[in-house]
Amino acid sequence: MIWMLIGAIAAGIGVGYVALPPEAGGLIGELTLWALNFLILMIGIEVGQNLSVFKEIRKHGTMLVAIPLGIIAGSALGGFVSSLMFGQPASTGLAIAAGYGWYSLSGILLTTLDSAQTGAVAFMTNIFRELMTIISVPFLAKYLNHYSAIAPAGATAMDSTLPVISRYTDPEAAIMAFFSGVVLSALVPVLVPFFYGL
Amino acid sequence: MWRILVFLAVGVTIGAVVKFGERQKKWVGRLQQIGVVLLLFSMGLSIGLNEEILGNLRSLGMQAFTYAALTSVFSILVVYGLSRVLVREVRHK
Repeated sequence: MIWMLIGAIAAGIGVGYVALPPEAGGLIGELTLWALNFLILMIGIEVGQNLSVFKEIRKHGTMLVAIPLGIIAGSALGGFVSSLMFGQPASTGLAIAAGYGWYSLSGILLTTLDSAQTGAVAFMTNIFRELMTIISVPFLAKYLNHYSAIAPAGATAMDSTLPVISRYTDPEAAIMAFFSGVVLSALVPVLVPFFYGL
Repeated sequence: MWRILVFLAVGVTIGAVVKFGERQKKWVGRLQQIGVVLLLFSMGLSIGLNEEILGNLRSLGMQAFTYAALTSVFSILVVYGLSRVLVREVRHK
């Protein structure tokens, strides 16, 4: 799947570079916006279908809520520090950080909200974040604790990194990871525009 | 920006109210995938039109790497800290 997505970008870059006049930018922006709204609608439907995960809260207690909140706070802090290092506006840094590993959506959102350049950084940031998660989960689960192993995964904990988390932790941590992933995925389309607008 | 939130809210409402069968769920997933591929293609188009990005790819990649590392590390630290405080608290009770 990841190669198909990278392939789609690469094909776009090729066509944009070779075949399109610079004036095409406006039209592409308009088309992107409508396609994005359609995608968000589909994502919303999926989130709506999964609302029942909130019933798990009572069973698993405070940590279930603390994990996604901690990831939001930690990512914001990391994004803020990074934006200082590169002399970027803090709002942009927070918005990039609020992708929580969901590279396709955060890249698309920031391309639409800001620029192709910020979108490209967000896309790569969140691909790296997913890769770092896959590499670090076994170590975090072993040397810190199972909760910490969920932290780098962010939104990806409900799908692409769930297998690695569930393999190196236990079934209870896997349920918490899934819950945290659903919550963060639902928040990406809300928080990226929110932080960007600050 | 508000349009995004409106579309999200409409989607969540549809998803919560309408009971989808396995087949329809698969279609939602497939439509999402098609949407993502098209959007990434158009994101690529905007990048391809912008020679500045292509020239700076290495430095943008370094930025992205830093963002990824710092957001991951701080997330881990905050969640670890919270788990130390909250889980111990639960045990005392």
